Amino acid sequence: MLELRHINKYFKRGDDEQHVLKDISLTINDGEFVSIMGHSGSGKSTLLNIIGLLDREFSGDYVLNGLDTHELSKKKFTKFRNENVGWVFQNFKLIQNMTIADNVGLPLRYQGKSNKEIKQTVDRVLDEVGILDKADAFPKLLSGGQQQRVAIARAIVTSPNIVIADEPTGALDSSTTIEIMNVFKQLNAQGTTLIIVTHDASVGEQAHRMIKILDGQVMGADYEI
Amino acid sequence: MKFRETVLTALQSLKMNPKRSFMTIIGIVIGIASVITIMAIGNGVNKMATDQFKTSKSGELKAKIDYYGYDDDAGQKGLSQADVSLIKSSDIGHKISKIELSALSGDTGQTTGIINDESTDLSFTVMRNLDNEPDMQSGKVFSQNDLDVGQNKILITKDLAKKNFGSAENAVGKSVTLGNYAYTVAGTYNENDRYMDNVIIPYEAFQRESNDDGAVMILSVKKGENPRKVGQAAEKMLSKQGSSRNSGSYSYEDTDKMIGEISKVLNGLTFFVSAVAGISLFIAGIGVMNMMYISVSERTQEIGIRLAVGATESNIRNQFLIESIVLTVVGGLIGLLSGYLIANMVTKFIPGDMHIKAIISLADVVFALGVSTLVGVIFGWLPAKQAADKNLIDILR
Ligand SMILES: Nc1ncnc2c1ncn2[C@@H]1O[C@H](COP(=O)(O)OP(=O)(O)O)[C@@H](O)[C@H]1O
Ligand SMILES: [Mg+2]
Repeated sequence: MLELRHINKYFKRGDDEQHVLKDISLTINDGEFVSIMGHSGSGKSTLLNIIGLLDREFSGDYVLNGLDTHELSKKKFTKFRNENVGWVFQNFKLIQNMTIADNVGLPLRYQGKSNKEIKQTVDRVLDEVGILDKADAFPKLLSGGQQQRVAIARAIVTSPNIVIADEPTGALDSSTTIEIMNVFKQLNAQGTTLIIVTHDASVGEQAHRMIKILDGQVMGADYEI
Repeated sequence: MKFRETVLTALQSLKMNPKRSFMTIIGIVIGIASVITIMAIGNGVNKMATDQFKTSKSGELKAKIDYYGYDDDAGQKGLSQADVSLIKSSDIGHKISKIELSALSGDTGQTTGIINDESTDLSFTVMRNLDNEPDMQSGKVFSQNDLDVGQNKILITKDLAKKNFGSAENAVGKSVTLGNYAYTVAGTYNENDRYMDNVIIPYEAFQRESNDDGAVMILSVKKGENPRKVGQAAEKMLSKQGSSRNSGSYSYEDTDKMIGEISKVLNGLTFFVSAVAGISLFIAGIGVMNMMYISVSERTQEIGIRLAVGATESNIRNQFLIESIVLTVVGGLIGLLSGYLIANMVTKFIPGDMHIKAIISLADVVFALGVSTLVGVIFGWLPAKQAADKNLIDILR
């Protein structure tokens, strides 16, 4: 379970401070599939970075799986993210000069896992997202949909209980979007908490709950879909 | 991440830009190579110096006296058994256990020979091994077996062959007498820097020549006596009373002094080379730093991705630091190797028959690796730190 309480976030703009997140409080339970929607610049990514433990510079409390994230040292914070959260980005964010298998195995490398264990796990997740045959290829040889599958495989390779995706279908055409959403839904069906930021309503509506953000504030009550 | 993986990652990214990596390490190679060259030669000189004083099995040291005739073509050797007796019976005689005469000074000597029934003075070179073959004109050079058993074969210069046998080809198979023995001409050669004498014979064949007289006197000095003093005393005595004192001069070959002179030159060189190496390493270091900064900025995305999937700041810093160290250590190793090769070449040109060999000691290897690692750390540190300090949120935006 993750709990945000009175989150405020400011960005410096020259001499001014921009108030990007305004007193956001929300709770997401284990196993939920939540979409976050809103206009461009409304603060979705900023919020997601906080939820996904990329950003720890904010005021307010964030309790994840019973742990107050402010209490973690920087190093522990990284480790905590590595173990609890899997990230999927809009433009895949794969390292171009590494094979698919190496890209997917990277989070396990940083956990200090053995080569053998890494290979086993990587093969399993690549199979799960349906691109085991591409293990030794390099990212640029893959289509957008395939690259996003790789990114998803990398996100779930550490078996996190939360998968977070910032506009995962933003760079994909509509049929590929459907494919990728099916992969996500399958993940969620297996019990992984899924949080997706999107401005595509057809994607957002596939979630169980939709959170609308406007100018850094949560709009009204959440939608149960 | 495990250390091994980090090194592999570093190698992989350096391979992405082989040309750039290579250009960057050239300075390191030059710096390390020049220091190693001078150190390897220095080691060789030191080794030779200590060898000089290393007592032979019986604890004896040698002193060597050369005779130089005023008239180069006189063909006389200058030192005879009379001179040996002179010294043996003198007041330094009891300090000497053995006196040998040799026609050889270094690898060359003078003697009389007979070609086509005509007696002539000949200068000769002895050949010890096949490392340095003469520039052959006709016929064949000695075989290893000829050298081993000391076959009575001889190589003569092209000019000598033309003068006495009409042509280089005609000379092959003819007979030439050198000293007390007859030799068969195996071939003719063109004179060069190494073989400047009229003829070449196998060293083992020369050994059979009688040593009743010679151009060189070797005194075996008894244990506890100073070979230098004995050598100088013998030189003085020969200059006053030697059998050939009127047609030439005697000189004690003071190896100490020669070593001293070489050391002096070497010390001066060492200073100069170290300065060059220092500057070269510094400039190379700046190059490494520059390349690492470029690499860090080119790979901002990669850094962001790594941070996002679980790399700590020290993981990132180490990755780039190791990359820079791998780069400079590879340069150091190449420098070590080329330094050794250059030193080997240079020692061949050191004058005199001192037989100095380039020697690389373990300390040199440690030095090369140590310095190149240090350059990698010092000049890789700031770029690596810059990589580690990158803001993840900004990169991923
Ligand atoms: N790292 C940053 N530094 C400064 N301003 C930022 C930064 N990230 C986001 N912003 C600003 O905060 C606002 C919200 O951005 P963001 O969360 O990316 O919006 P969204 O993802 O909903 O499009 C925007 O006005 C953006 O310019
Ligand atoms: Mg965004």
